Amino acid sequence: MIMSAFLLAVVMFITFGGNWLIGQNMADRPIVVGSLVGLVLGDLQSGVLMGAALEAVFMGAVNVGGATPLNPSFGTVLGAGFAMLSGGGVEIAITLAIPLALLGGLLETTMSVVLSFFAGRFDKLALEGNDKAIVAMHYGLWFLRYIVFAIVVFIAIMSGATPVKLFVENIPEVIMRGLAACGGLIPAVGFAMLLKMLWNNKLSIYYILGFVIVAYIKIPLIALAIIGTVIAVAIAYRDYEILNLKSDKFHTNNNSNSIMDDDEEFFS
Amino acid sequence: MSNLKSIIKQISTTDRKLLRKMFFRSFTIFAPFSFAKHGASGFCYALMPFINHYYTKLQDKKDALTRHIVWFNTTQNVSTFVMGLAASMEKENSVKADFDAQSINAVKSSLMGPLAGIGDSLFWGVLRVVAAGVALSLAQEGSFLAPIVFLLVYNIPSIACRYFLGLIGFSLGSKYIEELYASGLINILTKAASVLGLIMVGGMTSNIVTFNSVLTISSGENSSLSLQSILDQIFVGIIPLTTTLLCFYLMNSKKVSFNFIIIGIVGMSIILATLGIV
Repeated sequence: MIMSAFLLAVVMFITFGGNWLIGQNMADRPIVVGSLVGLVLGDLQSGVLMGAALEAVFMGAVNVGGATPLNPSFGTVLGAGFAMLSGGGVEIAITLAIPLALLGGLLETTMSVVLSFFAGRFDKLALEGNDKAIVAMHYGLWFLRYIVFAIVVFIAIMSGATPVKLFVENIPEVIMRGLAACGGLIPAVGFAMLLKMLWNNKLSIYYILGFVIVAYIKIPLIALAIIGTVIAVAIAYRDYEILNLKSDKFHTNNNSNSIMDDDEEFFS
Repeated sequence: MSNLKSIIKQISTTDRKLLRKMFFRSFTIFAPFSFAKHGASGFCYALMPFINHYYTKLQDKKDALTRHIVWFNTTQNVSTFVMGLAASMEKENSVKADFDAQSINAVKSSLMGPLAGIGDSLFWGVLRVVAAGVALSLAQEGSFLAPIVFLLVYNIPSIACRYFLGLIGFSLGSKYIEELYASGLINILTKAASVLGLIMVGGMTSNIVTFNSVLTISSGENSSLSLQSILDQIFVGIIPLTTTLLCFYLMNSKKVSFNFIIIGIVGMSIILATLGIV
């Protein structure tokens, strides 16, 4: 049992961790994870079949912007792992994988909150110009984030399917809801940092404009980009005309002076 | 297209080497993913070859690192386009004393949203689904080829895209920034990019920073009031917007540390959950 638990922990680490280390190469999708689970447990064919079934189940669970309630790779390692170790079939893998993917999602959210605490350290290192330490922390945090998943998989396999399922069903709802709320609000800190870089008292009203448009009209970001481009081009065009006027005025200062003066008086 | 090819050909050997480093490093962009930083450290890491090569003064290097250690998010297969563009701007900044370095982040923030919009649907919506579809038909027979085919179908186009977009971003940047400088249009463009950047950051704040209350107050026999609907009536997204602006105010004016703010948010969320508000 220890050997299987260890091997499954390794599968968890290289598929999920490897996916994020090497350009989101999709190694964390059930079809790959399931096959590897089959390979290490000595039944490649069932692994492929379970992986394919779970791939279809989790087709819609996509990690966009780091926010998914489900973690398909965690669900697949444990779902397919438990099913194979107990001699069960695809049905058992699916029934176990869904609640476990939810647990995996919870763990993922927790790690994204925990790693947020290192954000200030990154800023400090950049201020000090310590690029080597930034790189070390970049990889170090990667290792930390995914080794935790491997350890949890190891513990879960060692304790068996029934207690794990019981545990998932008994997570206090307060924790679930609190973490979900937390995951929603912490990006505010990241945006605040971004604003620090872009803030300009004369232009910052446009930030509010972008927010309001998306909040009320709920348009996709591409549409917002087009609206934003129209506004930006209009501003740029006006500025360009002013620039031209300035240089025109400079060149033709002598003969147009009187006309300009008349205009100014008329408008004032 | 032939025009673009000729621009790419003009990239110097040194820059090519640096771009290759950037390409390999870009794979790790989201490795230490956190809610507060997303791909910040990865973006900074990918630009380091350029920063270390082009900046000789320590202070300039520090400024450049600080510029790129900020929140960044886009589909990672197209992220190299933004990296290439930013790299060309950093190169320009290292030689031109009057370069407005703020424009680098303005360009970054105006591009990441729309690129993510296109990238996510192209890579996640189309390519991944196609790859899974091909693999699933193989997997019906339990063939071990299924996962391999899946990975190949997805990764070959996405890696090619990552590589060439880096080159394209860099060459476009190098070519046009030079011209813009010569004509004096760069100031106008920096302002326009800042406007677009702020609009996009505003939109992304609304999309990504979220808050939803589940609290309902029963008032009378059949009617009940939900807190969220009251909040929405005042202003949709009032909590995310005020939270973001408060964080900005605390960090910018009060110099409150990052971790303190995050602890505050975690504590607040748990309290709100205990009270049954979220």
